[in-house]
Amino acid sequence: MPKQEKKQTASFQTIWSLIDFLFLVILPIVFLYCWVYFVAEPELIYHKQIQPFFIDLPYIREFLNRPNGVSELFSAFMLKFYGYGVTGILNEIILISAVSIAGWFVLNKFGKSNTNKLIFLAPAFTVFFHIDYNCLPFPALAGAISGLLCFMLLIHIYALNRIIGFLLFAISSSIILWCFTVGFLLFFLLCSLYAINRNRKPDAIVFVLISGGWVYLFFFHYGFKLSDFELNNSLFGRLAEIAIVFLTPIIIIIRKTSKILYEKGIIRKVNFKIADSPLFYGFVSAPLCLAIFSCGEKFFDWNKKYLIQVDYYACKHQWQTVIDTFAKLKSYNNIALVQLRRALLYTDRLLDDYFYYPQLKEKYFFPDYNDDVTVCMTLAEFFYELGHINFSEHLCYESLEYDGAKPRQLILLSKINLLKGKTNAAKIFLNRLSRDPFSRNVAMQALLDIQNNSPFKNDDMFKFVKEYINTVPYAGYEIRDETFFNQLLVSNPKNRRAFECLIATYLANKNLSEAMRLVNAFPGLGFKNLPRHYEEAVLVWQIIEKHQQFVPGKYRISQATTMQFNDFVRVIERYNGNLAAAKSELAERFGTTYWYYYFYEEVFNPFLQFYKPL
Amino acid sequence: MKYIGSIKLAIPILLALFNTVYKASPLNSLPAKPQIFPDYADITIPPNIAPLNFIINEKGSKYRVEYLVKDRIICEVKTSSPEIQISENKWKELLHNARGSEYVVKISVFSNEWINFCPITNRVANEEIDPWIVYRYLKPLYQFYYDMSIRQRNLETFNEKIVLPSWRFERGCLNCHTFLNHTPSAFAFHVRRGKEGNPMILCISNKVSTVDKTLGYISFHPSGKAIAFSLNKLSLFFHATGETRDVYDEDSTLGIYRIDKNTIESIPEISNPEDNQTWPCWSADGKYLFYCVAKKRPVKNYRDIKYSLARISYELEANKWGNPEILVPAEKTGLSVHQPRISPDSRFVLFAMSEYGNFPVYRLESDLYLLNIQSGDLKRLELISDSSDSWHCWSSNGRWILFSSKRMDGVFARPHISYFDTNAVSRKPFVVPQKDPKFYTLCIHTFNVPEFSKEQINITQKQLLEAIAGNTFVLKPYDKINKSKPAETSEHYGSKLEKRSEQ
Repeated sequence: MPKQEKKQTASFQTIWSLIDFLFLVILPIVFLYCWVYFVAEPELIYHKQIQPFFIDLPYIREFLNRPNGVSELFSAFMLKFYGYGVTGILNEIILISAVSIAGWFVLNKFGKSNTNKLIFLAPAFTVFFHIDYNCLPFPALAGAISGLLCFMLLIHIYALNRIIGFLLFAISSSIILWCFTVGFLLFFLLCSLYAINRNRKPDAIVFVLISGGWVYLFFFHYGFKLSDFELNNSLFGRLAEIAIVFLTPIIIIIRKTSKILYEKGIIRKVNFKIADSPLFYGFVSAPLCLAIFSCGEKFFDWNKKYLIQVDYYACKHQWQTVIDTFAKLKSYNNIALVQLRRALLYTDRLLDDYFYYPQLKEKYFFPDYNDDVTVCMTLAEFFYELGHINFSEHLCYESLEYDGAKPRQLILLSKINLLKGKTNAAKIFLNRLSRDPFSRNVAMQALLDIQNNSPFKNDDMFKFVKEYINTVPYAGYEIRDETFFNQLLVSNPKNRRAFECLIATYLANKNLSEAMRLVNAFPGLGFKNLPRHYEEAVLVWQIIEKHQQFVPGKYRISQATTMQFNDFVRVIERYNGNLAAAKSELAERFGTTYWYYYFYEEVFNPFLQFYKPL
Repeated sequence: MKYIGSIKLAIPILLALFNTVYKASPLNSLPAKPQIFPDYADITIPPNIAPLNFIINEKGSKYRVEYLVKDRIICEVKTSSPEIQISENKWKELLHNARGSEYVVKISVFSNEWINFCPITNRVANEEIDPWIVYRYLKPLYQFYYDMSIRQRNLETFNEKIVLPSWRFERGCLNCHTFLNHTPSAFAFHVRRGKEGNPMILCISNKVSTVDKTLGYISFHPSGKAIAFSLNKLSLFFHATGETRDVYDEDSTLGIYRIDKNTIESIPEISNPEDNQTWPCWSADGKYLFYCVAKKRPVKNYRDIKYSLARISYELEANKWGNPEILVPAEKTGLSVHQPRISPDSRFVLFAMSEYGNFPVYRLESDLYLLNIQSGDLKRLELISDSSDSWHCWSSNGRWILFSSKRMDGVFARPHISYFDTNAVSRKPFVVPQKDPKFYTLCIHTFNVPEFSKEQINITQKQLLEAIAGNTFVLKPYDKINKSKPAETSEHYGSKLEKRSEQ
């Protein structure tokens, strides 16, 4: 070949390699970054999936004592970084890159080939861990890294001395099985394939026997179940797990099979030979990434994202954003509903817009936590803010048991115990929190404040609760909303939050007599005008329930409300009082008024996603 | 090589300097005792207990602690941290030297100058303590349970082992365990497996079997041939002020499970439909069954439910019951009796009393009381606190009392030990020591039902799991009890497992 031609070919190959690198290596990583940052959003991942994590020997020992515990602990630690925006994503990218690079080295041990580059597509599959906020990539990544690294270490020793290699395999595989279960499967698979690849089939049998021995010991002797080793219970998570962990052996198997088939002349006829295929991956990876993206977008649970956002913004006390995000929901859960009610309360819109939003079937203000344990923490925070610390304590402990000792639970329990005069118990919760390196500063400051007799001095809510704490004794299996709010008002009649919730409960239960009885309390609580729903209720009370003499204290019903009510009555009259027939028209025009709720015991709001058009 | 000589010279100089820093003449002596946590001052300890590590809650930059027996320094700890941890070997030497007498702890703190605090004097008893304790380890539970375990701890070391964690059987509930004469080869406990039933796991001679019957609080007859049990219909309710949790006993009755005959029998002599009977406990000689009895009341009158302490004689071979007798009537004390435990010499009954009800761990006013069975003398034990004391038991030699107390913080029950001397006086209790002296300032778990055991439980988790799954020998006892009685215990922790597993 002439020299110039050679030079041209070399430069062509360099450019080709660069394009290949950009498409095959950079593109999946960029794709993963964009997905996590813009679609899943790291803060939401953190908020939904945050787990307890402490640098504390007894705590760590708990994880070491159970299968896959190290993996869980590692995952809990890495998850914390999502709370710091891009740091979490960068960690994820670093780990998946480490898996790819280690996989690439391992593949080269089985023979150099362009096909090996396919391993760099692994980051693209990682997006499936972020489809429904139910699983995390870290246990799988830790397993893959441990399996690949152990394999790389083992083959060197195995090459020097097979017996020592087997011994090392026996020891390390048991450790990996206990610490990173999927890593064990990968390690065992690679070792067996490596032995087969080197035409040492008896050695492969030894690897299989040793692994089988461990599996027997763990599952039959110690009685562990497969579910004890489970990483996550999401379908997408499992698929992504398989893709990431087993990509290396899958490539090896495909390559080996294709080579055998090619040598036997079976696939030569269709001109398909993966083993020595040319450099075409750059063109393959881009459409593949797009395909994964499309697939991810199709299956991404947007509603779940909005549900998490509602809770997330509520925890940040961004109440208007909570209300706005709620409107995007296609279906809602108890947490979202409670957070919406909090948002309405704190934006002084509870009695104006309570019937603008859906109601619980049982007409309760608070959902029943017995049917949905996940709502316990949200309710605990709401109860605390209203001043009912005993019931807040109850639900916070339920959440502590179910969700674990997360910062949110620990801080609330410390506040509750301080309010109950149990300072030592409060300190225990804060001490525990201080063992979380990510929450240490908050905990230490709170402990210092307690020492200086000014606990949570910058926390206005804490001061409020101290003032409005419930003092009315009560004992029972459960407490219903009306009793709950009445106790708070008896304890402190100035508790406007409890008052608004009580009125909302009376209205929802159509207990208008009680609601009207409280009209004189409005001025003392700083209401300049009667809230919209209360005005609407007054009109119902006066006309429908025939209490025409009722005068709403110093307030007047606004003209707009009166006119709208007259319209409402006219529509019913037009249908000769047939409520069923009038429902459709009334829903369109008055679906978010108290009158509509009063007659139909439901709300209709076409501006909310989950209300289907009539 | 030329540097070796210099190093050899430097080492003694450095050591001398180091000693000068720590052994500088104290300029100040405080008459007060130092603040230490846990409170290990003026206590009586067993000669086979693990090191009592503690934190000095006094401000300083250097700390020095000397342990002396008869004015001889046995060991010394010098540290810049207030956390004092003594080596196990040195500690054993100290206990060996001080057995039957006292040892002194001298604490000095350096804060600009060395301050010597008033020495602490502790007594080492002659009588050993049973080396193992077994307890339930769980967070403060309300209705839902997710993560709990039964654990055993060696009191002579810091060795703790998990006997059975709940995550190994679908996160079910593990209930009160009981041993036969403090031996770990024979014990029983009750589990909740949700839809799969709530059997009792019975271990006799290290062989585990499943008793297909829900039994509440249980007590082994000293012969090992029978188990007395209660069938309780309990429910958890809540207070809006004060202590949040409380338990209402709607219907409770006692029965006996004859292991030798595989029958479940009622005790007709005490079966009165108007009464609740609970907390059975056999006397050490097996001749009496002690229990608590109260008139049934509707839930609204829960404050009027006050249990009396009673006993009834029993002849095992003849299967014959005597007449019941009330030993501590609630009308007289105005309080409610719980959890009677009989001393190994059958002379004393140790029990908890609180204002009302049957669940002392939720009653902050609950204290431990002692009844001299022969003389009838009743007294509140000296180890009282202003928080709940309950779940007590005797060591096999009757010299040590182990109980759960919330005295440290009012929320978490911690295992405490008290020496019970020959004059029936309980000494100041101390919390079970931990390797990390900060342990109790960080631990958000409670230690319920601590029980002494003479040896380690050697039954494996797998054996217990197989029994829980019903894969071992399943005993289906012949139930002679009137079917109108409550057939199952519905304890307060119970009912939500199905919902949880679905979630």
